[in-house]
Amino acid sequence: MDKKLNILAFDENLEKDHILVYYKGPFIDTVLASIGNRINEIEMNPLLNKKVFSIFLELAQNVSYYSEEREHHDQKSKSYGRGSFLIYDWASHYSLTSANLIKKSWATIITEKCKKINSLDVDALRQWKRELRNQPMHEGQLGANIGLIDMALKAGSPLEVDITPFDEDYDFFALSINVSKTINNNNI
Amino acid sequence: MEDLKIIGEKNIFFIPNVNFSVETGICELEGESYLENTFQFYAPLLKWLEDYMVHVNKPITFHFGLSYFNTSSSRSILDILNTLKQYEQQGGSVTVNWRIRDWDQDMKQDVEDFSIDANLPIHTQNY
Repeated sequence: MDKKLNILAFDENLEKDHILVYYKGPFIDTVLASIGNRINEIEMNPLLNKKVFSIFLELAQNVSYYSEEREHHDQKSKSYGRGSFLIYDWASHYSLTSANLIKKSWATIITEKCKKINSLDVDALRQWKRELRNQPMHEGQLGANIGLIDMALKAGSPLEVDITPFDEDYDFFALSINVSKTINNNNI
Repeated sequence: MEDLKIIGEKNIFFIPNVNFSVETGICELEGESYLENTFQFYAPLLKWLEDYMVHVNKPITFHFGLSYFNTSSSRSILDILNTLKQYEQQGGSVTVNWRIRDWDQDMKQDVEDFSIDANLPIHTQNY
């Protein structure tokens, strides 16, 4: 009985908090595809829909590649990061958040990168993105290393970083970004 | 040398349509690009272009119709453009077109950045 009541309270809280999508678990390709399909049903404006979808996928790939909490799938001989993903639906904007564990040594690196991104204007961001994309790939590199910049450009709003100590070795890292429902032609 | 054809699909991953013709030199890459292994997917496309440049050595018209690509794919797309640029520098004739939805200002920006990066004009067509 207690359990049922908790689920009801949990559901009501999700709604009260304007949470449209909530997922916690391994960031497996099939799960990401389902969340992606759901996102595509939410927003009718094609550009806004595409912005939300692209940002979701970059956030999700970061969790899948880089989360320190990992789940192995023997069938695919591949491992997937575990973490959480949320979309809030507010009257003026969507807010997307991903969260996962990172090594403590990464906390400063990520915080500094996001700070730098937030300090740059569109032209400087585009230039930096081009510079990074032109750098040769190093062995074991999973992505193009431009996901965070791409998100900031598409959202036209700052990256919000929240890092909380988890234990001796790891921090809990949450990354949020807002996407305005009013699309501005200058993009920022 | 043979044509390169890959039929795209949008399932768990998004595989773009590929249609590269030896006879006409017309290369089409369209749909959406989000792949399980981006570099593995694009390697044969780059190899085809390099072979074409050496063995066929005729003009290339490249039609991009990609409406979505993730940042990993964006790197491979730049590899294609850089390969085309190299062909042009060697005296090859290269035309690059990109079809963009008229509402898609983000794509417009991405295509501009590709053009700057590869130092290659990209003719955009709105639809």
